[in-house]
Amino acid sequence: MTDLTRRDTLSFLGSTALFAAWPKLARATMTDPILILIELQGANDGLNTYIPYADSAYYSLRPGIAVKKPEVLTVTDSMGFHFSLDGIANIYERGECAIVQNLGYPNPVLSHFRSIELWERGGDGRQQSGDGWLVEALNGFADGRDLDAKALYLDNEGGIFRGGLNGFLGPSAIGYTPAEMESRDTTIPLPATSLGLLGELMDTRQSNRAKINTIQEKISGSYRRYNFSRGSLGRQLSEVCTMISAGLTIPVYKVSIGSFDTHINQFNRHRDLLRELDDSITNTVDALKEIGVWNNSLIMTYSEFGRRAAENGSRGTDHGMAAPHLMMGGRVKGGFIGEQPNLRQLDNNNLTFNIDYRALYDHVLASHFGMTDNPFGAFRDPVFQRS
Amino acid sequence: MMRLLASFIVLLALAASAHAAFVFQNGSGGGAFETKKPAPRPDLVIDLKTIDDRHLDVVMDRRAAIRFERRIGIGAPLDRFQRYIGKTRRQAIELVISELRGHRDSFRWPSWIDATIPVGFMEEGIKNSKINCSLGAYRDSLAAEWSNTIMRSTTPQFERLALLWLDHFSVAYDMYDRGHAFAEHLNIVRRHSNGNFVEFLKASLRDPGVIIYLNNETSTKDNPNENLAREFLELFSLGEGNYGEGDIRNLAKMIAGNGINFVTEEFADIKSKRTAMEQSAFGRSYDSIDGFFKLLVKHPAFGEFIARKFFNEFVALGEPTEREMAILVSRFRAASFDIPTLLEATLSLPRFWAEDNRLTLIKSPIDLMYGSARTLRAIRSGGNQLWLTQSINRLNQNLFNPPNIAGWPSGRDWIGGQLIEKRIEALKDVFEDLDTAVPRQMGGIKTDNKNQQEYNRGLDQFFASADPEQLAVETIVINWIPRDFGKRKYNDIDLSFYNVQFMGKRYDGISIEFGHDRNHRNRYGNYARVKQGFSSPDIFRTYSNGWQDDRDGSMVVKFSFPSGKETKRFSGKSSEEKLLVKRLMQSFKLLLEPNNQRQLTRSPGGREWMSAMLDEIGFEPVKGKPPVIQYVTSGSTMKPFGKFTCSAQKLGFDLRVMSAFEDDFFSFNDLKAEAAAMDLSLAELLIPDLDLPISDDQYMDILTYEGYQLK
Repeated sequence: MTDLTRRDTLSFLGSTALFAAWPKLARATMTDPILILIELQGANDGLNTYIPYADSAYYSLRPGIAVKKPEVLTVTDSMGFHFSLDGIANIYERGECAIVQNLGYPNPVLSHFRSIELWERGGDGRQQSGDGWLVEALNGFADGRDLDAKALYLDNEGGIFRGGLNGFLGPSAIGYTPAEMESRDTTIPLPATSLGLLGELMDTRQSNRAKINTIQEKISGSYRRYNFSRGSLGRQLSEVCTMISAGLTIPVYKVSIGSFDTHINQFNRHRDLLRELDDSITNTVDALKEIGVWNNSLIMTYSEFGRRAAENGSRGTDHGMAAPHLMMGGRVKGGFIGEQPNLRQLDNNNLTFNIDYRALYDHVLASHFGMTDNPFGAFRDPVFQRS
Repeated sequence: MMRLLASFIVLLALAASAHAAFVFQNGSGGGAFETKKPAPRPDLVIDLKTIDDRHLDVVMDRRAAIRFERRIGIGAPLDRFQRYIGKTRRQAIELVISELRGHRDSFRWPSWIDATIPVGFMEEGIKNSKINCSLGAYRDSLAAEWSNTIMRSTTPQFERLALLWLDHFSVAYDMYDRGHAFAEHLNIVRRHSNGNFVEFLKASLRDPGVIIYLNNETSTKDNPNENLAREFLELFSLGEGNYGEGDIRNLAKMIAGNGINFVTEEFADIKSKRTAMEQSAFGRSYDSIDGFFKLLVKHPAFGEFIARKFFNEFVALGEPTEREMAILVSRFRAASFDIPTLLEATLSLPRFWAEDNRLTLIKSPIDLMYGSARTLRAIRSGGNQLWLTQSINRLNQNLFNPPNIAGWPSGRDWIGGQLIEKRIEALKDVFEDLDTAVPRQMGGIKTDNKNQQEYNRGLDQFFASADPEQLAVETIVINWIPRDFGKRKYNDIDLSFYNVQFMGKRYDGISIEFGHDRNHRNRYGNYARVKQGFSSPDIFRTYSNGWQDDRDGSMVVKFSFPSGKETKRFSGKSSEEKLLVKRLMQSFKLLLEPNNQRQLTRSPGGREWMSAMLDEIGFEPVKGKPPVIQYVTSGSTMKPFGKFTCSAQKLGFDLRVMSAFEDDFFSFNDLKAEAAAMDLSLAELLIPDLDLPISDDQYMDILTYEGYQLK
């Protein structure tokens, strides 16, 4: 079976899944899709976030750190949320939050650096991949649209946009004032032989500078400023909301929160991290609704890997394999996607993955951005094609 | 249908792993996994006689000379490129290669490498005792010297290679803070940078920095850590696609014995951890690391991975053509993988010299910042070496902390995500207003190491006046003692002794555990537990009567102590070895002194047990002196010299002095005058590939021009 026919079959199978299809617009508008990526740095402990409270194995694997049953915010008869996540649980109850279970990839790598690089670029333990997973897709998406930027990261960790030059901006985009960007280019003529790489560099700079100027202008011309919490994640998401409310057309924002690498005494630390996550997300959702873009927005978490199902000797958890992640937005069809973590069939105390994270990438690109033909089409998973 | 396909793949994977597990068990932890013979690579082979190098007869003018120096060195200092003018390309290459071969490294190794004992083996104890070791100072002193060496280098082609290999054999210092191991890593890199690639690869497997970074010290033949073997094949030698999982697993077992001594951080070859079974690589068998290397160099793709790296470093981004690759690999192979020959072959490629191959490389931050400083003989006043390394850190090239095992970013990654703006800002920060700036003299820094000298003099006297039968130790730390000591199955206190003298012998460090298992089986009662490689020199002549620790595979000897049923592993030890263990336990007396060890106040059960052991073993004087003496405590601030210190000051180096520039370096105005005298504009010097109409006074406009990011 050739690649082409397989793709044809697949696009026939399902162009809509969790979302209604997006009409392709010639110009970017406030109804264009917005994706907000939240990196949970250090690897979040999924089992203590979305808790299989009805499974006794959960309690026997984690005698020291399990969340006690009465404290779990139960949302189904087998799964519940950590008690810090009451805001997110409310969004779930409204049917706007989905939890994708057991995400992972074959031949798991348990090094923070290498594994986050895989999640950023769409590789796995067998093959590395080149550019950031969104780069090619966003270059395509931007084609024919008038975007203020293709993507913007606010946390100094731009690895996810590796290889993206023109239109991929970092935190300095909102730190610069237009005056500082003034330059002497006008005084220097372009060389007669405008060479490939030099031309690319000049174009990128020129275009990024223009974009940054526009971003600055739009922000300073906007009356609404969000500033809803003191933590680092809250600050980053406030900036995001301010930019969206200023009418900026940027399809992807990336922010992060650390540090989830809870090898020792994890209970309190994890509780506090989840509380910060919950506060920031809840505030963001409220802001997106207020701005009127909630229906076009998708918030998604990701992490380098999961954590071990069994607790370690220091009341913490070690690096693991599969992990759940959340997706929420006005058009998300809520619920748990995929099977409940199987705590009785562990690989070295590890949950095994059963949804390739790249199937999620494919789903996001296809459903949220309308790009059924995308670099991750080969990983398409029918688990996302729910009625 | 996809679901079906997916489950089929899962089934296949299961079948494969079940098969692997079977082979593994069959080989009782050592048998070889199956490997495949690699496909021949005729595309990498050409007849060297067919190489046309007539383009190398062209005589070089000044612009060509500057371009050449920029690509082979770091920046373009006047005296460097002037040598090429009027020579043919061939002569210029020969000059550069012969200098490289004759290079004598002038790297000045910091004195602490020999003068101090590492503290990493008692890291936990240091942390628990809240001793400030500022181990980053080790890194900074090495970084300052590396930086200094780049700045004053008269063989920058060597420094370029040293950086290339530092990136290739990537180790991040901050991951483990092992200064001595890291210094040896740098030493191995510099020693082999202009040598033979195969020897370099062999050395990399014995490099303590690499071993610690990739956790090979915890590997054993029965439970191998595949990290080093995988990176060796993927990132050091062959590159992806040229080996299989079986090759990795087999190699992991063969190199499982490549460990370290935990005290000295030196390489240790631990034969008990290495497989003795025949292994297989690339479809053929081998029975030693040397045997593996014989197969490796015969691999038809060997050399390709490195040749590509050189091409991307010196010629252009992207893939070389098939013919270019064949030339590089064939010449490299014909020279038995001699590194200078590979460089020579790279610089001899027609594309290296081609008109349409200008401004096709993106400068690394080091190239950008150090290259500018070298070319302009300048840096803005107040700057020092570390200032320059900090400036490249901000541009994502952290000298001794690459982001991961694959090394620093490269190529387009240097300018993505608006890094280009940061690079231009950094150039302004460091190089603006050079002509009016008055260089600040770095002299006049007072180095007050009186305390350190006093400490060391006292320490010498302390050891000199000790009786041979006394155990004299600089300091003792408790690495670990549980708060609920006495209530567990195994109750251990884990001690490290730093700088020890006993029976006329000196030990850099000794680690030992004492404890009891009376709540659990009571097999030993009270015991001592000693691990090979955790003392230097090892306190027991042999550990062969012990067993392998299941965590890291080190040999362990455990025996009842001071008395009990299980003494047979101890009874054969020499009387000196026995006396030493007794003395180590007698140190409880010092640890139990009031205000000594904060940790003990939190472990009442531990104190109680230690007192009981002390009662049993006694503390009878040796010729009227106490059996154990300690120079300084690790836990309190008692006299005479207070708490144990391992900070930069004690180590006897002063970073401010080490990182200062040499005085004669600041001469931007001289450079300008010299250039003007030879009718050379700064625009031509800085961007010889373009003809920018910018006057020398506006040199910052040249530096901040996009074309300056390239070469």
